[in-house]
Amino acid sequence: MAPILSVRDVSRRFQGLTALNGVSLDVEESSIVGVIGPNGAGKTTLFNLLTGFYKPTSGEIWFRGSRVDGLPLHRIAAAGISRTFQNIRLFSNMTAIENVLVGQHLHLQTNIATAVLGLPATTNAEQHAVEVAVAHLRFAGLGGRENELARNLAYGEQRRLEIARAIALRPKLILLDEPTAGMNPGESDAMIGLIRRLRDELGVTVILIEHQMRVVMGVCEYITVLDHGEVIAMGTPTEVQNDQRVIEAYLGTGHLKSGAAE
Amino acid sequence: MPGWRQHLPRPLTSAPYREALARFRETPAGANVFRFGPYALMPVLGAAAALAPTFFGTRMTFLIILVALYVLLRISDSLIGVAILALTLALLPTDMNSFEQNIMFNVALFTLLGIGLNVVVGYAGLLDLGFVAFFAVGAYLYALITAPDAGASEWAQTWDVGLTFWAVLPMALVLAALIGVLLGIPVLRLRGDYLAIVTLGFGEIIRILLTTEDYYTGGPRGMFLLPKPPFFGRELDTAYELYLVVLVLALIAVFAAERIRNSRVGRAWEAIREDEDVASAMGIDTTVYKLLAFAMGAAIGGVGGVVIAAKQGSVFPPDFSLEISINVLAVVIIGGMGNVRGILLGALLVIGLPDVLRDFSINFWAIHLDNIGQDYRLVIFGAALVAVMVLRPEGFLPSKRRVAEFREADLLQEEMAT
Repeated sequence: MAPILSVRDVSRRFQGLTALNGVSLDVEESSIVGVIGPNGAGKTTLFNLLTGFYKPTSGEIWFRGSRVDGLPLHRIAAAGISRTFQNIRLFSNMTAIENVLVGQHLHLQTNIATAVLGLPATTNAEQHAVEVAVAHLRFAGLGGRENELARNLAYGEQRRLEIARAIALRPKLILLDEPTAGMNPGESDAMIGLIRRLRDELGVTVILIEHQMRVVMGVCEYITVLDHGEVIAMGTPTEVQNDQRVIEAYLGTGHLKSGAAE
Repeated sequence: MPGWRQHLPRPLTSAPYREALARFRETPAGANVFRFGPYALMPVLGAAAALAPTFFGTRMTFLIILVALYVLLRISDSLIGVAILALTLALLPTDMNSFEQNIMFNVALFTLLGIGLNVVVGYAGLLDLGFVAFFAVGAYLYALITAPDAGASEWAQTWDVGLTFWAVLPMALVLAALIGVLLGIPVLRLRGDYLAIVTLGFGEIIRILLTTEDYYTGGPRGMFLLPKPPFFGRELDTAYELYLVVLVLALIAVFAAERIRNSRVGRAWEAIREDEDVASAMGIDTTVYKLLAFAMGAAIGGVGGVVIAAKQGSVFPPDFSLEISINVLAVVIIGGMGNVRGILLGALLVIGLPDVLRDFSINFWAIHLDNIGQDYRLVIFGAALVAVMVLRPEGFLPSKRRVAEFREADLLQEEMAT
């Protein structure tokens, strides 16, 4: 089966700095893939390229059989990729449900004329959209928090709201940028459960950036390791864990040598 | 926060008062007062405002109207409330002299314009300082179509389509929206301050074009002898009748703007205002939606232009100066950005008050200031704007969300100070 996402030899330079260098990556449909690597390895840059925030300096990105690199953000969203952000970027002065309704934008038809006329069809569509949004919030464990302003939600809830908003786009691929950052073990476990349900119940392909090894090893089926903008390893969690270059990247070569000398 | 603020009297919305009110609300009597009180109060306020001109002079009348409308706007949440408000506004000027009626006309006109600009600035968060351009488009369209040969530009003398006010209104709506889109396409790539400066330039370009292109526009000579709106065999020629026309247009505009705001389109605008990149990542074509906001604001501005041309019976380039754009923006900001009901209040304060105080004089000890509203208009206006920005940055009747945003800014400052 053809991969749902195919990154081919993608590079991104910022003036002198090469953030990503010749990265290639295939993601199978309905898999959960982890992207790990030390700070500054280019993980978030990769996400920004996949979602159109940046354009690649060279290389191609293919998604479900069509080329998406260089497309404007909203076209990539329409193609079926949605994401969350490392530094939470909710519409903070809108309520939780309004955030999710914005996520449904592509699936609603109301325009200026129909909004002004307020025909029964429009009202019904809006009613339906609200019901769907409530279901999305429940899915993300935010039932009962519909009318809270996003800014007033607790930190963990904000992360969940970002996911609820992302699934409102009905994406085929969802990119989670450090979904458990700053969470305690209990919250992380709940998040792992939510990530699994994204795939199991919604059939969405998931790519996540993660620093907590417990989470990565617990939920990912495939892992890609980036270091200094290059892919240094890919494979199953066990394969990656035992890869020499990964150990070097994380622990440094000096440590390894002294370890080997023992 | 500056320490002097703590010496101001506590506002009625501060915690002790709110708690006392909340306790009262818990009691059965209190619950009834809160439930039915507004309905009892609304007709009283409406009557007070509508009867004020009969019994009082201009200044006292204006004060009563201001207070009554402020309270009415605050409590009229339901459809009945809006109906009473509309009725009050319609009946207000019946007993006014023509000077007062003209003031009310201007207030209503700027309310209409404010509703238009609010779509652009308040909903979509695009700072547009060239709003007068669309106002001018509507006014000149009306002049071109309806001016008799004696008062028309050379170009307009060469053709005659024989349309009246009511036919020009929708034409102006469409034309202004189109020009809004045309101006918007190159401009909307810019954000924030840059957008403000470029739109400012566009407003001036339109005014200068009106002056220089005399073959089409009549140049500095303008166009005049424009007819009043016909209405079942007669003409609407008093300020009060035209006031009613603007009022109806403003009600339609409010209705449309509020419906759009609560739809997918309004949410998209709000998302763009909050975080343009993320809005785009949610699948919103931000260029299209910004253009939509621009076009809708422009359309309402164009309609306002038609009315002012018909009211004045003439159009001259200086009528469409930067001052109009700034006044409309002040109406929106002082009233409470993003909130339609605040705009009426903003128009009363920004447009009505200076006219009411036109010949107000202070003679006290060694101070002799005459014609305050006229001679010191801009000084007072500036001082008032500064005062509003310091004391109540969210405006007098803000949308709840705006309050939250400004609080957030305050909190941030406090955090940075500590």
